[in-house]
Amino acid sequence: MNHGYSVITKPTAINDDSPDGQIIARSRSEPELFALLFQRHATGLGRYAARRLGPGPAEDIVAETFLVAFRQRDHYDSARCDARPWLYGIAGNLIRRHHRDEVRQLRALARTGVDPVAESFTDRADARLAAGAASRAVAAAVAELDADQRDVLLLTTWAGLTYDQAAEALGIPEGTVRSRMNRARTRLRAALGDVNPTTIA
Amino acid sequence: MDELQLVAQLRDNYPAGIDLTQAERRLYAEIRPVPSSAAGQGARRARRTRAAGSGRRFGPKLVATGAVAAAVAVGAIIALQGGPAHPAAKGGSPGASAAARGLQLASYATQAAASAPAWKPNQWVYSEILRPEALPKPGATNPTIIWTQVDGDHFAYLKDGKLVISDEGPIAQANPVFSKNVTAGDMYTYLLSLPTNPAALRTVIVHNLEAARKRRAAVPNLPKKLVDALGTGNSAVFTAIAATLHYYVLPPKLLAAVYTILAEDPVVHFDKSVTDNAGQTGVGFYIVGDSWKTEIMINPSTYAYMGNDSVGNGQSYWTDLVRGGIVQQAGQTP
Repeated sequence: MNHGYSVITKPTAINDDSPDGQIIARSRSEPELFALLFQRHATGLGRYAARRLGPGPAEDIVAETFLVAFRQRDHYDSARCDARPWLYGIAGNLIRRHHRDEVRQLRALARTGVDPVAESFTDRADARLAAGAASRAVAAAVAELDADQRDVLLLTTWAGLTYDQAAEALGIPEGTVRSRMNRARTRLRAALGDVNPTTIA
Repeated sequence: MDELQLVAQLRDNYPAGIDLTQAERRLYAEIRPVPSSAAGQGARRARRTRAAGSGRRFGPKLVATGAVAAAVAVGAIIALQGGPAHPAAKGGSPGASAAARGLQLASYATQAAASAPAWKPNQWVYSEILRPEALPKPGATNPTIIWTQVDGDHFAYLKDGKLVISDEGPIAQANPVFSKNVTAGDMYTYLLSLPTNPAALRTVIVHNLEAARKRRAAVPNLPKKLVDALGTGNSAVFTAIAATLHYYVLPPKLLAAVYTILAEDPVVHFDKSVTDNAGQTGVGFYIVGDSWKTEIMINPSTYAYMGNDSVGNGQSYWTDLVRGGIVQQAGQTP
């Protein structure tokens, strides 16, 4: 019904259930609200980055991801409730700069059984014990994937993003995500055909 | 178990968390560019050491822009060019107390601003800001150049060397002005609406701070440090001023009023000699608290705002306004 006047609505309160998009939208005029986004997602993002590169680079990547996100928050589509694809997309761009280090560490794990990433967390003996034959085989297979395939694979298996979220994070169509994933799985199956799955550590 | 499960288990047994302290600190520094309290002498030495390094790294470019900045800066200085430097250029008259020097600087800035032309709605505010950037790596810097039309209708920036004019304001221009939330398009309208009488302006800032404090306190689970970041009393006014100068080029009369507020504030100290991250020397107003020292740097000859610098707890946050002022068209420099 048209009452002949515009209804003035009070801004929606921010609380624990507020979608990320709403928080980001409000943070454009109230920047401090962006801290809530950090509280929600920094730990998960840090764990993902640490699994890929180790804790040292991961700390920088988390810091830079949130700085970039904060500065670009004006461009975020606030209708997107979950900010994880956006954040993991920014982090992915930063992780890609360490592409060679990531592959080198995976190959080192495959070759020696000692994971440089694990060494960053623990002492050397623990790392050596942690890397069984299956881990070495998986690491070798992941290292040999194309970088684009590895991104899709790890965004879905390690970060827990859905295909459409991974597509949003990578800025590609969902169909491309599915095809990259299919190719990655095919190559993984070929490489892991004789791995005993019960021995992975 | 399929291949995806095998991948999912790889490195899954590593410790769950990483140290996010620095990441959180860097984000909060970005959200709240000016810490609300300060550190002591050790922090001051740290700043000067870093400033020297920055000067070498960016020397050639900044020497050039710095020279231009000294020659033009904001409109307030036009009436003063060609004349001898004011006593404040050397930190004030010999024998004057630090407080007196600060008042002297504010007085000179007020005199200069009196003859500066008022900004018009169709003019553009030019700002060239240098600050630490997250990319490509921490500590690197890139100057950010933005033109903002005074009436807020348009914004302009350089992309691949070409001028782009947009209806959409850059995010850096959408931060609180004197602790009041103002949209990017309205910010200079708001700034020009503010009283240039120092006492009246201070009243507005105090009012805005109280409103901001209530607004933040009403947000569930907002980190307390962000509520506390507004500070209390006089230091909160200083922080609000420093944060505003961090993002906006102020009209000359308003800038002079700000200097007077700082000069008259008993918790604000005057520094007769400071060096910014571009290696330019000036004077400063600063506050010292439990853990942070925050300083607002000013060119003592032109009274232009030069930048701010906060140091403490082994951290340093700074921004330099390499050049700022009013121009007729986007793409022009002052």
